[in-house]
Amino acid sequence: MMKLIVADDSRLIRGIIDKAVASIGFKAIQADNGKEALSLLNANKKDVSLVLLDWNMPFLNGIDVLKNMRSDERLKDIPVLMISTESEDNRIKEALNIGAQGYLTKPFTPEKLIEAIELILNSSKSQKTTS
Amino acid sequence: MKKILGINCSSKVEKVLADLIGEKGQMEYEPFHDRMVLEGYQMVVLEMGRKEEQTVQQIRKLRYACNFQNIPIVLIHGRKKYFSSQPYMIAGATEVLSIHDPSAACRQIINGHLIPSREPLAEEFEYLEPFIKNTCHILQTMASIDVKFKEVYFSNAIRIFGDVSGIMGLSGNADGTLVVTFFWDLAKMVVAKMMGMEEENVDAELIHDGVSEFINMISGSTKREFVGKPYHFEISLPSVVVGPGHQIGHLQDTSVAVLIFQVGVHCFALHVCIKPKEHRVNT
Amino acid sequence: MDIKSYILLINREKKFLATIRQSLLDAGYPVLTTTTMSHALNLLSTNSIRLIICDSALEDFSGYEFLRFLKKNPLLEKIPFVFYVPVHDQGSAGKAFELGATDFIVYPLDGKIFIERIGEILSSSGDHDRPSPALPKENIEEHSAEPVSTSLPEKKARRESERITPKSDTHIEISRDAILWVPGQIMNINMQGILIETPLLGRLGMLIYIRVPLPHGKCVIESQVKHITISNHQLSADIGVEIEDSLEWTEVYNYITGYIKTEDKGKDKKAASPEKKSEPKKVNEPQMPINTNTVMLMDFNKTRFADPLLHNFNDPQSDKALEIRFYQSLVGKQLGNYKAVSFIGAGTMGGVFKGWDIVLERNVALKVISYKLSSIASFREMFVKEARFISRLSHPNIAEIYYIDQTDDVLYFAMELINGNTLADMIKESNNLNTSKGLECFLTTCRTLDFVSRKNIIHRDIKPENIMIDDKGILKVVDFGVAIVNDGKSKKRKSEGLVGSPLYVSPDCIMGQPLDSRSDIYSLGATFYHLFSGFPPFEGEDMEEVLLKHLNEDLVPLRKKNPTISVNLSDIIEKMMAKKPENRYQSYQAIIDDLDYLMS
Repeated sequence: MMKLIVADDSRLIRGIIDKAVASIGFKAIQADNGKEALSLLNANKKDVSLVLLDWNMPFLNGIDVLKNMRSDERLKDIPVLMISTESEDNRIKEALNIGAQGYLTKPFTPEKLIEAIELILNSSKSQKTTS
Repeated sequence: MKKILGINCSSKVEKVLADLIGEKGQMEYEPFHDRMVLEGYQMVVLEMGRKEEQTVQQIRKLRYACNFQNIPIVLIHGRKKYFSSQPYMIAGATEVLSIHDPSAACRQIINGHLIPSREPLAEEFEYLEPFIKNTCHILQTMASIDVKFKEVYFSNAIRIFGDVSGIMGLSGNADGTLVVTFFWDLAKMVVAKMMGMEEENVDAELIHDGVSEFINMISGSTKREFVGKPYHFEISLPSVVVGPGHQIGHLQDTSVAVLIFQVGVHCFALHVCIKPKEHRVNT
Repeated sequence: MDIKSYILLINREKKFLATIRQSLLDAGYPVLTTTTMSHALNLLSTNSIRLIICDSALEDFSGYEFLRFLKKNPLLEKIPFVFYVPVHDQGSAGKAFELGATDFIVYPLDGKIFIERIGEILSSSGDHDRPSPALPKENIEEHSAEPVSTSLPEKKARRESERITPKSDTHIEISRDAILWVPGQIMNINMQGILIETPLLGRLGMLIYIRVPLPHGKCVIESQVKHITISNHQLSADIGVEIEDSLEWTEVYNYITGYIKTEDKGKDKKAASPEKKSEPKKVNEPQMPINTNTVMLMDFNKTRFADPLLHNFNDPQSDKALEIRFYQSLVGKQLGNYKAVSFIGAGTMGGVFKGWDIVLERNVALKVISYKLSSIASFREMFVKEARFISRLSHPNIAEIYYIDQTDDVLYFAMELINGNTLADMIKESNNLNTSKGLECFLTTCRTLDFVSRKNIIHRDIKPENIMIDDKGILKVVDFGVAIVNDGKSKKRKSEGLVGSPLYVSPDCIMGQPLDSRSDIYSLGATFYHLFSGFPPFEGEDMEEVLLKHLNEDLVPLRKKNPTISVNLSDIIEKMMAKKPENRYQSYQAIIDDLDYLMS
């Protein structure tokens, strides 16, 4: 089973995501804050194929997790999908510039989520094959 | 003619009310019971019983029966000794008046509550409409629930009379507060639908979480629409408040718009208090 | 059995730990103790543990959090876990079981019974080894993670500081973001923090701001959630927060504990003389020559400092509260063609709303006259007849009155909405105004009131709050709501009593004499005295004291309060504030002349 990490302080959102990604064969490892996400990421870095990050979280927010990942040699290639209620263009650009592969705004339907995940995974696959 | 419902009123209080209300309203009287219907009344006057707890329960039930509608509940009493009116206000009373208070004051206060609510101004609609649209959209998207916007009224304070509320403090260009308030049943139903699970499997923690996430999404998706406008705000982490009757700190000199939404027979309320940063005005 | 198979005891209270540890040691059980989850995890990784006895609240996390963590770890999840909860907190036992606790023990519990229970728990969880009474105690001692020392370290002394429980509701406010505040009630307090009952749900480790009303203003302190007890998910929860040492916290702690200690005494007093307390102040006693029949109309800046920790805003005896409640009832309503959009504040004579004119589609300030004034027949008459006349005053420095009317017995007028600051704001911000700018304001106000007095109108409520500088820098005299026309007939009218703010009111007004523009001259002098010196001319413990000083006490010359003020200006103000109207300036023109001379 493929693994992804979902970091969101809402158990409800984690539950919704967990259900949605299970339908495409993913196991979601859950973190309820940014710090926990980073430590789970370090522990599972070898077999995590995607990280889903909320923006506003306690202890460490999603953007800071992303910054940490992108400056860490061992984590920088793991793709990230930001999932947030922050939906202004400049926020989305900021996340993409720092190195997120995708950005999904809340509210979302499970279909939208799956679409976004597949888009990222396909493009990172094709990147790997081209490189 | 304004219809006013008097509940548990003694003949003494009936007399006082006749004098205070005069020709302005039509009084109807009923003893308290568990299935009070308040639809169609402009005001409810309840005479305070001897036991605080019993009166508080009655007010609470009346507030539930209002289903978030702005029906003033006036508690009237004949006590001479000082007592705190806070438990009653927390339960949902709008006013606690004594038959010994100056009648000029009582008349004016009752008068004020009987004046019908105003319609929103165009400038208020400018910031209320995105909230209405997004609230409906979120529940449609996340839970496939059809929501109807029912009405709006204005208040000077945020008082919560539901079971569970998600609150968000706003900062940035505009300050303010957003609060979404549910009764337990509807909150449970919404969360169950969001999660795609049976209602009996929804625990309290999940409901708290769901309400918190709901206000988060309402704030987040709406602030995008205010980019470049004075109403644009920033959000932080949502909080959850449980239990009825809490007064939440809000901005001075700003009115609070209470938007009522309908889901089948249930309702929930969104309090919107938002104020672009600007100069003070004359007092 | 491994001789080093320990019972791990975790509790915040070291004294408690020491006692329990001793009784377990006496019964022959090897014991490790700690106060934190993090240290407990260390001990678990380096020792063999046969049983965990844990409190629901630890120093760093909650016991539940700890248990939850253990149950996720395949190596540790099998160790029997017993909650040790206070007798009043049995509700949390249910939660503990849900999470997988083996059992719970309620304390206080007799030591012997406690040891028996431990024996039972160990045997029922498959650990049949009896304790070995022969076990040398020294051997165990050295494994004790937190040896009990006789000298208390500082931290420990702090932790054991007295926990004080208030008897009645002691209210504070708490917030996650310092923007939005939710009420909380102090359950108990010690130097380390507060246990608060609150509807705000928190999470462990979360930063929480606490706002406490101190006599001189609200104080905000930071704290961290260390403990949460939820007994019913639909009701308020108890959260324990830890607060770090700081000057603010010490002040708040001292205030709250001092307050709690004196609260009971206060209560007793109240109970002893309830009649005295509840009866409204009699205002008709003719003990001094003060026109007191409507003294209650006035709001006094120094409101009695009545226990800010208790929310007695609904004190039914307070006329002020009734006034405010009357204004509140109008929010979101429409009076004639004006919508009451939001309540701005209550002044001396009425409440002001931000309003909207639905016909002309513009912002207005809506002033609703206080029910007290509006229920006086003579005032109603005056308001409707004379105020209309006054409303025709047209001057660039007077806030225009657009309309005056009554709807549903509510008297109100709509006036120009001014964006800007009042002189009162300026006094607050800078103590006194830089003199050249202040003089300019002074002169403009005199010229404006000169115009007013030539129309035989007396404002009656000249005070810093009623002089504004709008956002274009233009001075505006506002609020002619209680102004009267003095055309020689006013003596016939029964006086409405004392009108105006006590800090600036003239002796003639206090004594109920017929007024002319010289009364406004006194109030204007008092207003600028306050502006130039930073202090009102007379201060006192209560309203009567201030009024008596206006009548009898010599004015401290302005120059004594602010030596940078010129003798001439000081003299002008002093002359304006002469006790007898005949000793004051007799017209604004005379003041203007003196000011012109001063400025040249």
